[in-house]
Amino acid sequence: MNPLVFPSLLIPVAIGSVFVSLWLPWRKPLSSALLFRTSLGTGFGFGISSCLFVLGLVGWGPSRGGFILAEITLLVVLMAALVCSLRRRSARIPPEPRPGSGKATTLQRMLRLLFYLTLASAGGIFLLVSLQNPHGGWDAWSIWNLRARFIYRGGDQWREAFSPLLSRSHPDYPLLLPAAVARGWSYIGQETVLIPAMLSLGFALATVGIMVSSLFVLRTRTQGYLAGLVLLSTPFFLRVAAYQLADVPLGFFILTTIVMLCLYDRRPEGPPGPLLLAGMAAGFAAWTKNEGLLFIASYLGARGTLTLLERGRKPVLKPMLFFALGLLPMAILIVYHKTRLAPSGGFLFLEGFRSAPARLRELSAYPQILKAFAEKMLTFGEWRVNPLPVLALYLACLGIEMDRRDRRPMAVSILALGLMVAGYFFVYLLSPYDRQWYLTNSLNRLFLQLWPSLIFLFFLTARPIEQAVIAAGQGRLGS
Amino acid sequence: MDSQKKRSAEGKLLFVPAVRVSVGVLLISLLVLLTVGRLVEEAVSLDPREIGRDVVTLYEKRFAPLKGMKGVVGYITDADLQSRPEDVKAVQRFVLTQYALAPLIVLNIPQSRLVVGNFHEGAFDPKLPANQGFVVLLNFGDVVLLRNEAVP
Repeated sequence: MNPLVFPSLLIPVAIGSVFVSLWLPWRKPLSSALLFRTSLGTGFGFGISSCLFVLGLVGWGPSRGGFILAEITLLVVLMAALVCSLRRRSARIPPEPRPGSGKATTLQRMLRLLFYLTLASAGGIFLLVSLQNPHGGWDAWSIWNLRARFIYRGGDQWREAFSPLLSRSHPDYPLLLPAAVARGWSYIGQETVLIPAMLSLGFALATVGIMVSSLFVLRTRTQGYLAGLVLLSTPFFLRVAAYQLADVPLGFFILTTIVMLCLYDRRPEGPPGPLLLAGMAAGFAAWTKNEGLLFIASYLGARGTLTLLERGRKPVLKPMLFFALGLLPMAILIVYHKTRLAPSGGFLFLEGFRSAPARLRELSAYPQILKAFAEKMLTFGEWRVNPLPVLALYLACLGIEMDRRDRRPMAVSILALGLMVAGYFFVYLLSPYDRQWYLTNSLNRLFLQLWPSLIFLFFLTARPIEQAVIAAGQGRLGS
Repeated sequence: MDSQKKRSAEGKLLFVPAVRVSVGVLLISLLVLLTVGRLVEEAVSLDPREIGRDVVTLYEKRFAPLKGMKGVVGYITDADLQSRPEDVKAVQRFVLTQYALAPLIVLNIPQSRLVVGNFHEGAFDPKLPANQGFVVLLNFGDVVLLRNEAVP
């Protein structure tokens, strides 16, 4: 194995972790804060380095030494900025008092053990599926890794990766994964299946990490472990990760956007870092898959609707401004990619737009899509036992207990995810592909993109075990 | 007073867990254990001899002799699939060929000066190319590189 494989992946993770640390306040306990930052940093780091790689290609062409130097320089600058910023922050924000945040209870220890056992099993299955499919699943080798090969192997002719002659492989599809893979290969000077596999593993672990650690911060440790367990108990999540598909990274960025909005709303008078990171995460979502654009539109739609309903009772300008600022660099890059590097996708879009009225009038399509949605919604995870009734029973047992500060981001998130599902519906309705084939082969992955966010929102709503026990205790004290 | 209640409640959690809490945690634990069981079952059923014999790796090896070419080439395949270019099997073979040969651009048509032939066991008839105006440049059995005489 090339000894540069791990450094090539660790540098972006370090860049991302230091970058997000600049924008987030340090809270105790440090172990949760570190897990939170490293998980965030993994996704942001791969996103940032993929952008730098594309900018480098456009600006100077392929240059291995140049990329390495640019990234190391960026890391050093960010670290220096972090050191300065930590020195300036005289008063650190104290931890939020949470029930059960003291010494670990037996239940917490049991859940932690179960979580790590499940994580190890998931790691094992990821390894086995990856060994059986070293190049990933169909979409990985026919779209993402194929584009990475064109960029890396093409050398000075890397623009051939976007040739309209390759329309079957969708040259207009976003570049986060292909650029991150090609960057890794350029870095180590060799093409290896380890790079896309490790990237995929990194995103899967980061998704679990951000879910668990954000709930540690926003709720309690048991809530974090339970959410992580439900995600790890989704066999399809593990399979899609091992198949190196873009749906897990997209799910990561959607979840991160929602988590950042929740963090911001916990302290709206505080620094706007979480908003900026939310905008960046949404931008990276669109840099990962076209569904990310739908997510941005859905989020803005949801936020706008809520603002109208609140009739100006809440400040709008600051949140939108910082969200837009975070989004802006990615938006520019995406527009450049779609208009300059791969403009052929626009023709396909216009073609689809022209045939839209006829497709909208196709009445038989509506029940067909609805039926597929109803079926896949219950089965997409490839579970042995469907978790939805289990989660409903869990909620019935524990009850609902939401921090009032979470209500607004929760409402925006649920509305945004609902709009996304509606958007998926119209994508199927207007798509030029054979509808049944398209539904069969993609709908389960679309639901998977939203699944981590739904689990997070569920455990943000459900009463934490620690509080339920307190409530039970109070009931007994009162009786 | 409040913290005393918490401590008291946490004491109950350690020794006398509330039934509802126990049921809730048990439900999720069962869900997890069933999944872990399934994952272990899957892991045990995997055949280690299959490692390295996936369809993509096999294609990589088949097309290794043509690796490193650049430009644009045409494509022909087994006669039964050539007539059904949208057949899933035909699409898979074509895309695998493209993946193996990138950055060479492979067009799914034979009307090109250079044409890559992707044939499966016994499907390639060496006499056939001449009848269709092709000259065999390289022949690796199931993978061939042809020159289309009809295209200048």
